[in-house]
Amino acid sequence: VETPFDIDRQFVLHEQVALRPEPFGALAYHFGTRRLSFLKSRKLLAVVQHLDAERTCRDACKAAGVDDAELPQYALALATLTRSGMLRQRTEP
Amino acid sequence: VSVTSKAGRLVDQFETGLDAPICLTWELTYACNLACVHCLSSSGRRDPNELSTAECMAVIDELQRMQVFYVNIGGGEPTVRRDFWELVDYATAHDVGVKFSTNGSRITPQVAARLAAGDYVDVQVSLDGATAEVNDAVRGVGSYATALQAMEHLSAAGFAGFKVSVVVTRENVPQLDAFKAIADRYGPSSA
Repeated sequence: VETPFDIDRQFVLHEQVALRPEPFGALAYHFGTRRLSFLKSRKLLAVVQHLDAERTCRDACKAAGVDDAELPQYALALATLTRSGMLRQRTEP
Repeated sequence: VSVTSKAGRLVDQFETGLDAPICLTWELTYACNLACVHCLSSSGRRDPNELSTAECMAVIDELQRMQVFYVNIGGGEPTVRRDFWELVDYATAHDVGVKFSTNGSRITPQVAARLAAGDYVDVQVSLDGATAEVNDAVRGVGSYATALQAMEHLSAAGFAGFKVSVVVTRENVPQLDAFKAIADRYGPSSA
């Protein structure tokens, strides 16, 4: 059983992942696992790009213009990216 | 990763395509030390117009600018280029991953160790028969031993994730389990 994704945790793009903006959103390629993921909206790209500067995933969503109604689906998308190793937990103290 | 939106249909999402390829195939040289009967690029002799080292690096620079994630390098036998390892290093240093196909003839223990130390290079060893008899009829005398020795070197160096590339033919299709046994023998150890 998977634990639900905690949107108040801190996740960042894995350092081995290249993020390439595309008309439909973005492509994420993980050089370590050789996995490719499609980010199928520009707003999701913006969320991922905000992860580094913001404290939590929720903050990154807010900064990217995700409203409360959209939040669950973005949490789901971030959970998927975390499962596939594209995002990792921030490790700083 | 999907976020439902008004433009939810895949045909709409991908209507304008990608800004750049995800990966591409690069026949770096047509020079080859084998003469496989089924060679798709009729390789053998070096094309006198093949790109110089500097030109190859310029191509890699362009791939980096386009954010092409990786290249599949083939040929010919790419490792016969004297600058091959230099180009592999150049590509990976410029955020372009490398996957290359080889007949194994230049995969020495030193090369295997070097490959094992890196992170962004995938290797595919070509083998068209699970026995020397079947393989060498297509790829030439001694090519089976060469390929298996390359696998031995890669495995010994700890490069466990390489692939074995097989062109399935009526001669080798009954050997599929034997191919698997070869892959298992040199694949990631359970230890």
